Amino acid sequence: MKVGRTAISADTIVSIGGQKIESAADLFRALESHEIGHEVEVVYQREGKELKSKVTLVGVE
Amino acid sequence: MTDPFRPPEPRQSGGASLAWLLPLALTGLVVILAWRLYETGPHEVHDTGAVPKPIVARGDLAQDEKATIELFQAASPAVVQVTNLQRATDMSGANEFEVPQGTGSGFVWDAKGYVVTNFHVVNGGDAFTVTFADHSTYEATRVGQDPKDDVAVLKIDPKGKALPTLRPGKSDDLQVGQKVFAIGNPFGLEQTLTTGIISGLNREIVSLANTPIRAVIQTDAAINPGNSGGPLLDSGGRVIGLNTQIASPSGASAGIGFAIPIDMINRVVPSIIRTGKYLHPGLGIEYIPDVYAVRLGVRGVMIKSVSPAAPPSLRGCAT
Repeated sequence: MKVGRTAISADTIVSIGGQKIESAADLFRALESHEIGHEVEVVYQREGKELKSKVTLVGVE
Repeated sequence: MTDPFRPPEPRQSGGASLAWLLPLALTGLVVILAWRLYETGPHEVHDTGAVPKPIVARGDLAQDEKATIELFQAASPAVVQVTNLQRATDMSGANEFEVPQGTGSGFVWDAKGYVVTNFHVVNGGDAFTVTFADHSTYEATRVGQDPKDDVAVLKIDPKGKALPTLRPGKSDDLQVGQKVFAIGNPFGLEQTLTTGIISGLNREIVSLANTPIRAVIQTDAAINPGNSGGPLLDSGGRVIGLNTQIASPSGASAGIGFAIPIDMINRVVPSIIRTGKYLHPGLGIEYIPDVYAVRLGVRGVMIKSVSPAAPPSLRGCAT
């Protein structure tokens, strides 16, 4: 993706544990419904392609 | 035959009735003037015979008044005023002193001297004082906080004194319509009691850390600036929430106050007391703020950078 002169290629999270993610608040709500140490499926987009990954949740302040 | 050049005779009957009205009108005018003079003219303002009015004996206080009075008397000794002090130096730079930055409320968690308040009450402070209803004031140190839930804990040294505490209740079985009581220091007016009901449940507010706080209690008990960090009590005198925010176009109470539920406080506070923090489940990533994603037309959360704790499959834009 090109923005001005900067090329941005960031993974974009679109769902966590089956919950749709469209904003940071969605992400936070989805994470809060799980526990630290639990494994959740994260769906993310990389350069237009959808990828999946099992992620173990860590504790953050 | 009538002379056409002679003016007609005035009609006798009409003239007589007008003449008769004249003294009547004059009399009326005199009466009005006299009355106005009496009304506006100087008259005696003091009454030398004035004495206190006899007091009317009242019956017993109503049952619910008695209950409210008892509740306040039992709870208020455990509710404190939290003052946030910031270090400042004078013009010469040689003298350092502490300037009160703002005040909020708090309540005593346990007899060891832990005091619960809002993170936004202690945010930016270098030192704190805690003042009780009996005006005893203690220096307090910051134990820790959870900015995402707007909770902070301070510690005072009770110096052998048996500190009054509040009993926590439960917030998962609350019902809209239940009576609630807020104690705090709105606008610095210490130990103010306001009452109302639970107006709504499961509200969502946004913390200073820009994260949603969920399962929040909405109340119409007046909550004003300075009430923050004070307890919301049920009719049993148990803490059911931490008064935290208001929705108000003016900045003062508009009848919409929000309290963080006690179930959350009861999870977060012991963790802060043990470790100084409360950990939330996370991915170990930093993300790009929503505004940029929206501008780029991206639906989702863009990863800015990943910490070593994050799963290796995730990639941020910095890599």
